Amino acid sequence: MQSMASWKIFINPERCIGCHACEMACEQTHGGASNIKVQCAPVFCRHCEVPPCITVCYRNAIEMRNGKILLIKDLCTNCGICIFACPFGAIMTTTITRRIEPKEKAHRDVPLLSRLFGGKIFPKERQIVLVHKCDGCVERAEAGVARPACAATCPSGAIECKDIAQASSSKRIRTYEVHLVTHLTHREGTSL
Amino acid sequence: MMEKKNNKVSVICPYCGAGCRFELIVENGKAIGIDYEPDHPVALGALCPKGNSAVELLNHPERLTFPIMRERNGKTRRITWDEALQFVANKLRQIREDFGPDAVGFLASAKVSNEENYLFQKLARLFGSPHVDHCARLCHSPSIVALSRALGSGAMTNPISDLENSRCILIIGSNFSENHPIVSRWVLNAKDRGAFIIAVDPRKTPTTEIAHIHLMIRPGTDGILLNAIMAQILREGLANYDFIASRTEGFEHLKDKLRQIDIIKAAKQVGVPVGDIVITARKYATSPSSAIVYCMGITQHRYGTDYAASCANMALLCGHIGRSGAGIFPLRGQNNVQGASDMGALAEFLPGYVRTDDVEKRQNVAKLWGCDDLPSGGLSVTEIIGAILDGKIKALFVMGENPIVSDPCSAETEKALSMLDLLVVQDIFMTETANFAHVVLPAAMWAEKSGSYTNTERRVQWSPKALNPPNEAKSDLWIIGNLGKLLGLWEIPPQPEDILREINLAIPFYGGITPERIATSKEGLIWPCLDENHPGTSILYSEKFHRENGRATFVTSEVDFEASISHEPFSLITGRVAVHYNSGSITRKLPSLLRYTPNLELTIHPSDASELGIKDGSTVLVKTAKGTVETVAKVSSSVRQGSVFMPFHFPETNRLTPKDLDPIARIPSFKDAKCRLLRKDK
Amino acid sequence: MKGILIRKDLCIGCRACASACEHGIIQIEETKEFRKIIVSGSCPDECKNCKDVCPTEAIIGEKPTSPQEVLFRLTLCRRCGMPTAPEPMLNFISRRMNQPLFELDLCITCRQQLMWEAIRER
Repeated sequence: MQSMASWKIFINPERCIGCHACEMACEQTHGGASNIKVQCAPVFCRHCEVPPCITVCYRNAIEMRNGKILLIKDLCTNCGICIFACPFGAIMTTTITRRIEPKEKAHRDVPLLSRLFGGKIFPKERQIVLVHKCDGCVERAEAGVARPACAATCPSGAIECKDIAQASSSKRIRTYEVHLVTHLTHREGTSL
Repeated sequence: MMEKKNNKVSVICPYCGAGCRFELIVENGKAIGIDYEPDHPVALGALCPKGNSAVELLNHPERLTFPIMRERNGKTRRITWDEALQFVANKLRQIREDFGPDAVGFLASAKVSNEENYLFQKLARLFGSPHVDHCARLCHSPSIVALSRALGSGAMTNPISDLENSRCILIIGSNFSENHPIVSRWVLNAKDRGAFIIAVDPRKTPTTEIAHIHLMIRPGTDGILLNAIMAQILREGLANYDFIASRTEGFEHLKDKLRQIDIIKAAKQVGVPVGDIVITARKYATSPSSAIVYCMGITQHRYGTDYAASCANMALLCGHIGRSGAGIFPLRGQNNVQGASDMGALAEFLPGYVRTDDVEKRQNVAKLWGCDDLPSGGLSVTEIIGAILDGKIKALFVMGENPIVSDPCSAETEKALSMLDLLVVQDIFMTETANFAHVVLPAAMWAEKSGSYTNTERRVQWSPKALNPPNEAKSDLWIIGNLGKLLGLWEIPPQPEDILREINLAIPFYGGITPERIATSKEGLIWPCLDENHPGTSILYSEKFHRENGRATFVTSEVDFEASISHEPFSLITGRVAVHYNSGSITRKLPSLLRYTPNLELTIHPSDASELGIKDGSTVLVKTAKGTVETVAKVSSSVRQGSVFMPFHFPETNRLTPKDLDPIARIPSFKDAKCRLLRKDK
Repeated sequence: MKGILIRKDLCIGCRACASACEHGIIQIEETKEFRKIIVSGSCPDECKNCKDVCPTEAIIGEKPTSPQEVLFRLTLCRRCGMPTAPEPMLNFISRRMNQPLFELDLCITCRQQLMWEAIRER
């Protein structure tokens, strides 16, 4: 089994057949919310060497560990700022509904209430927009499984797990990296 | 080894014919997750979106879980298994007595195991009925007929992974990127190694995107195109004369026919540049090893058998068969359609493709089953409906099939099923067909029973039982076994392993595929596997063909292919999309798949749309000789001008398709139906 | 019971406070053009959730109950016109990343699509 530090996920968009298997595999591995979005090829966290998301996170809720960029749920406030810092749009959101417990309901002004809630006085539920992103399938790695779910499932071999040393020597990968950086953000360090 | 480890059971995927394997994670008798099998040869553990839906499927709340009786007034009530089986057995016997055994039809399933299909067709024939068939009729029956005739066997010649060794791949009438996604991996590997990829399809699909050139042909012109390509190969002296001389016969007849072809005229009829025909001819013929990958675009036509034969002719013409990277790849669509066919669940075949009209061989099978002879002259799926309408068939037993949605011309199918004295449906959900049944029997899903399944590569793999079926649902084997016992056909309902041992005796090419060997092997065994020491046969025809004299034969069609050129405008092409499966009876119930393609859409070319005043997303009426249907338009240049496309996963589509059967294989023409379009104003 | 007030001059229009508020007092309403942060009532004394999570310390306490609405116009994506985020939030990012604001005017879908269009075009 490769240790987490040494591998990186690479996507070859020309191989993508748009089947959505990666989204489904990711979703099943991560409690029902996919960290991948297929837009003509799968988009997910590139685990950049100089990550914009870490730069903007005011809570230090994103950190680099073993070459992977991890969002720490316990520290994350779901503010959504990092979503717009990521040039790839790789940070995802999922809206969930959570119940509001009766004993927690506080006093409210009536006029505003009837305007907001159409006559219902105490809202029973609220929507939360959860922020999440690829974690390099940390749990699978810890369980001794070599590949992340997306790479394991991809039927066409568009998502590959490569040793970093092996990958950086590949001419094609370098070309993608340079082109993408120039086109989108003019920033160095954000990597493909 | 395939024992349970920490609640992980290695099963075969229940969807397409690729035969991928994955691990099902089971906890407390419930499926909770899946994991991947990176060592499995078919796809190295990869799994398409449908395979990934396995857990959602196994836990679906709408499973049929107890037997149901439907009264005359349409009301349903729950009954016990005893009641259900007694009723069915008695009614079948009654109908046999009143009308003869010919009055009962049996539809087997391309999705249940080999053992279950074998027992099912045995039950039907011992009962006295010759009418056993299944949905292979609607997909690869032309392959069985044409390739058996040309080469000796109707199956795919090389393993899927062998495609990466091809130097030229001709994809004709196949959209594997959506329907057999893992095939893409191997074709892309070949492309990375420098192979030249050609795609022939009236539509632009994710598969045609892979190709270096795409021949976007007019529907119904595959025969003309293949002949033109072969004519060009001949003209440029690129045929493999050594191969033709040493390993084939019947070439002279084809040569005479091909000599008369004018490829410039052909190119006009087909609707592609002449240059594309020439490139295809040169690339295919001169590459060191070339493959032809084909599927429904070749078979589901009025002359599907002839088109399939043309594919064989082309491979033989250039000697691209019988070795690595060279072969014919008819991609089987269902997880066990190859197996169901091998097991003889077809009107004209007994197990092992023994022809029912071959008296001597038929009587050998009868002897194995303990009787003197077996019935013959059975009707196919497509003909059974007609026979019901004519009053000749009074009862139908349907196992794991949904003819109301899968057969052409749904109105006729509905009318026929309503006329039956007895309709029994054995399935996992209340399908459109089950809604017509007098008795509905709840069946187990694939992971809830043990059995072997044969994929498109002829690979026979064992899929063990991972969990119990819900409530009172039973394996198809239990149901057929007990029904057979009640009908007096055997004493004890057999176990899967016992049936496989009988299959080893009945079918020579399954001779060495014993339960012991495949239950302990993840990659299974590829037939022909003649005895217990035989390792199986990955690539067919490396030494000789399966015909009597060991030679292949060219099959020269006398059909006038010009008569089948499509009726543009509008030619209605029906087909499939990535996240759905066949009649949609399963996938339309799975939200994780349905969300990607929730509704039926008709794809129409922008020029046609604007001429008819049809906007993207607006409602359209589609009219054919068989019916009218309302659907939503999707404007896209992925179809030709004059053609439209509708996936058949939604019940509306086959309301429109005509029967228009191929005379030999009896397959309907799903790929080319004349239709009219009307904008529906609000 | 006490109240909270969001200082409009400091608030950047993110979602932190609404996500943190277990009592459903702070809610966010969003349309194609606007994001509205609504404070609908007074809060339990002990609760400091919203203050703790605010990136710009824009929430202050002590004032008595008073329903409040903070309105932000959503910057539109320069490629497709769909809403992205409030401008103060994009400014926050721009400052911290030392990146010009105009580069951030892309919605998430466009960023995802551009990622691959850039490559496939070649």
